[in-house]
Amino acid sequence: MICEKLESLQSLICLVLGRTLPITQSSRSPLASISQTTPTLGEGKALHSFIYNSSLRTSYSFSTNATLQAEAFQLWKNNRTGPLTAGSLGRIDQLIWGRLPSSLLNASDPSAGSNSAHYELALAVSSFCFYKSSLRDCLTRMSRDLLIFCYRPLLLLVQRLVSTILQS
Amino acid sequence: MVNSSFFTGGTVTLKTNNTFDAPLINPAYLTAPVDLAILMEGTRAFFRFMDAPAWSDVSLGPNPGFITNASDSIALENFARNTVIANLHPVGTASMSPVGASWGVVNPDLRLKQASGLRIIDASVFVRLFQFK
Repeated sequence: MICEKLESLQSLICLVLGRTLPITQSSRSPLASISQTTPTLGEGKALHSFIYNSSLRTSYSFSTNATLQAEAFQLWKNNRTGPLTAGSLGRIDQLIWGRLPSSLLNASDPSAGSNSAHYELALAVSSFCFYKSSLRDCLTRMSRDLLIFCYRPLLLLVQRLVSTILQS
Repeated sequence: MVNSSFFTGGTVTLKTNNTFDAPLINPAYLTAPVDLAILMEGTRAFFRFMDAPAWSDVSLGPNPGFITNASDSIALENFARNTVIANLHPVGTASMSPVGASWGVVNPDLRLKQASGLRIIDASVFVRLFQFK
C-alpha cells in the first residue's frame, strides 16, 4: 500500500515539476505545472520513529529455545491453542504515554499541548530477537528485526504486573 | 518506544524521470535536537519502568550501562541513533492548507491547487502527525 501511495505521489511530482511521464513522453506535455504554487509538495513528510527494547527473560528464552517453539507450533497445529494464539504481529495491550520533563525541552515543545505525549511505550510480549543467537546480538540488533512473536501466558502476566504497578 | 511528538519533517523527491523508479525518501530523523531528546528519554522511561521489583522474576537482568550510568548520555544517544527505525505510516507530503494559502498542495476539498480534475485522497494530505490523548 505504501508503494502504491509513493508511486502515485511520484507521478504527481512528475506532473507538478513539469516532467513528462514515460507513457506520454512522445505525445503530450505535462497537464499542468504548478510547482511554483505548491512549494510544499513532497516536503514535510512526517513519520513516527521508534526503538525496540527488550528486558524480559522469558520471551528471550522462548525466542532462543527451539524445543519450546516446536511445542508451541504443535499446539497451534493441533487445536489452535498455546503461545502462538496470543496474536501475532504487533498485538499491544498496554500503552504508556509520557512527556519529557520541561528541563529537557529547551523551550521547544513539538507536542500538541501540555497534556499530549512526547513518547509512547507500547508494552508487548514479543521476540524481536526470535532468531538471534546471543543476548548481546539481541540487544544491539533487535531493532533490525521486525518479526514479532507474542506469548499468551506471559502476556497475561504482563497485564497483571502492569495492573499491579499502576495501582501501587 | 515511539516518539509521539516530533519536529522533524522529511522529504520525498524524484530520483529519475521514470515514473516507476522508487523516489528518494529522506525521513531526516533526529535533525531537531528535541526529537533526539524524546527518543533518549523514552528509552530511559522504558528501562525505569522495567526496573520495578514486580518484573524481577522475568527481567533479563540489570539495565544496560547506558541507562544505569546517567552521565553517559553519549552511549544512550548512540543507542538511539543506531536503533531508531521507521514506523511505516508516513504522512504530510501533499499537505492540505486553507484555500488561498501560500503553502500546501491541496485545498480543504482535497483538490490539487492550481489544477483541475485531480484530487489527492490519502494520508499524504495530513499536515502533521499528532499524538492523540
